[in-house]
Amino acid sequence: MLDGPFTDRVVVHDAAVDDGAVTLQLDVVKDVSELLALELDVAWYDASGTLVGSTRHVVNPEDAEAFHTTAGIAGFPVTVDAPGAVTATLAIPVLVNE
Amino acid sequence: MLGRSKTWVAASTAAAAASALLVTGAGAAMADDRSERGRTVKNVILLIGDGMGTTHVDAARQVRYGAAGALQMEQLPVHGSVTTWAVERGSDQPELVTDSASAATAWSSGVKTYNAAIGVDTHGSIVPTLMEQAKAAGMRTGNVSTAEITDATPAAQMAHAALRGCQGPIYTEASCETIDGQPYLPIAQQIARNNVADVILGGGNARFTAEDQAIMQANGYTVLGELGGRVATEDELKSVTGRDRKVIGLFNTGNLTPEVNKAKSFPTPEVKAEPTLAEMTTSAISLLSQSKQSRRDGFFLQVEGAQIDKRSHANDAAQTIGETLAFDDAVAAARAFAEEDRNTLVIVTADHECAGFNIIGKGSFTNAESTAPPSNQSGTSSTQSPARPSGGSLDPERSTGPVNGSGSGDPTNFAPATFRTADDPEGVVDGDPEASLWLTYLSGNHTGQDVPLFSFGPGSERFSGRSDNTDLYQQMAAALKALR
Repeated sequence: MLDGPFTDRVVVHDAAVDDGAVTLQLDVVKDVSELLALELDVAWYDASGTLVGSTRHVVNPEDAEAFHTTAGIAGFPVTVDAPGAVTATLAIPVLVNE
Repeated sequence: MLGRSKTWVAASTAAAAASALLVTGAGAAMADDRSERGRTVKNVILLIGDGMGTTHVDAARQVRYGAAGALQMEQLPVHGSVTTWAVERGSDQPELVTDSASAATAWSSGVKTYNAAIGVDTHGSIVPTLMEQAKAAGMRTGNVSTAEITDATPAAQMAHAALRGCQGPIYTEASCETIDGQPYLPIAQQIARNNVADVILGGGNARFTAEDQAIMQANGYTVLGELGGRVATEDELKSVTGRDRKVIGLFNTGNLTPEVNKAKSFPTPEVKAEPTLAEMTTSAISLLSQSKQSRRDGFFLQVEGAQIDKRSHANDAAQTIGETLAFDDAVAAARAFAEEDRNTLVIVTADHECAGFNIIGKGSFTNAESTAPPSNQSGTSSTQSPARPSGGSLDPERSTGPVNGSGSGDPTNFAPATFRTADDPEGVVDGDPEASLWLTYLSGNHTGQDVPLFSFGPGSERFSGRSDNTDLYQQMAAALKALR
């Protein structure tokens, strides 16, 4: 995961690259009221370290509602199709809570 | 992916609109009579308890002063209430439960708008804000919050966005949309460039960048800490002296730390270096008033106790009460200045109620804790359906003891939180069933209740009785001497 303005507000669990997809679980642990906006930048690379592709994954805040606890968002699953991926990087350019 | 847009649609259009409205809209107020209601004032301090409903005030009073006591805000002589409804996007159809964005736009710009809108009307057109107009009229201006300073309540006085999530540092179409078909600067970048607020104190340092800092310094701001880097400290704030100062101090990368947490869980050096809302309010008033410009034209200051709402969303009663009391301390600071200055109007209110906070009878239980709702059959007179010939009883699986006491280990516990009040005997502590104050939440969301209003100072009579949140803009604009 790349450092950014919101790195201290999230915890990434169980990140994996498998079968052409990047999967992870995300906790939002700071400012733990309603989630208003969340976007993830995922870039993936082949075995030689060459960039294969990238995408901006926009989360619908309503999809996070089921994972909302008094401690914040817990265990929110994210899956991003990443054909040919062996490794990947994750950045969070947008995170807004109520 | 869109990066940082250099388009100045929001800033330039707003400034032009603010000037235009100053000539036309505010002029209508000059037709007011010369009674006490028509009296103008030099300074206005508007304090917003975000999410603060009547029960929030009641509960905080009970804890600190007891049943017969009164918070500082309750001691202000003028009392009223405010309706808070918003509208659906693109229409005037009421949306009965507002969010902070549309509510703040209502009192900042005098228009009903859709939830999430910042300084735009229901059709997405930019509307001038009272702070922009005050600045254009020569007043000093300040904006203080315990939230990120890009959050809805402070932002609605000094920025414009189709969606409140457009806070920065990055512009994306998903989080920002467009205004009038064009991308525009995220809220943080607008704040850094538009010079609307002279004194800016709060959180959200991570939403700004070194470029923003350079621009603000070039515009004469003293930047405490480093924007986008090291957060500011209370000591740095106290060290600012001199007249006619423009200052930005952001004391956390995100929201400021709730007061209860400062004492309990996170006594790190960084947390200890955060000022309280009262301290920020006192500093802002001092910085704004120590100015030849301010003595001539006055100042407009908005102060927000933001964490009342955020902790209510989390159904944390202890933190909710703590933040309400911290907000009341800020009210005390504002009143102290106003009493000495005698030309300052203080207004205390809220944007909406949050979470259906309520006081229940000691030993009673709520519907959420019950096996069924109450009985609704009374002899032969009831026609309700479904018929409930008998009421529910306490469900031991849904209520496992005070949620801040014996039931604190159960995450699915719906039991109330109990708090000692100032009237309780020694030995009674929070979480005891013997404590007098039993507090519950309806949900984790806003409600449509009217909210309380308290006011003090010249022209405060304008705010007695029931107002709509858009009326607050009209009344503040009419009260300000510089806008007449």
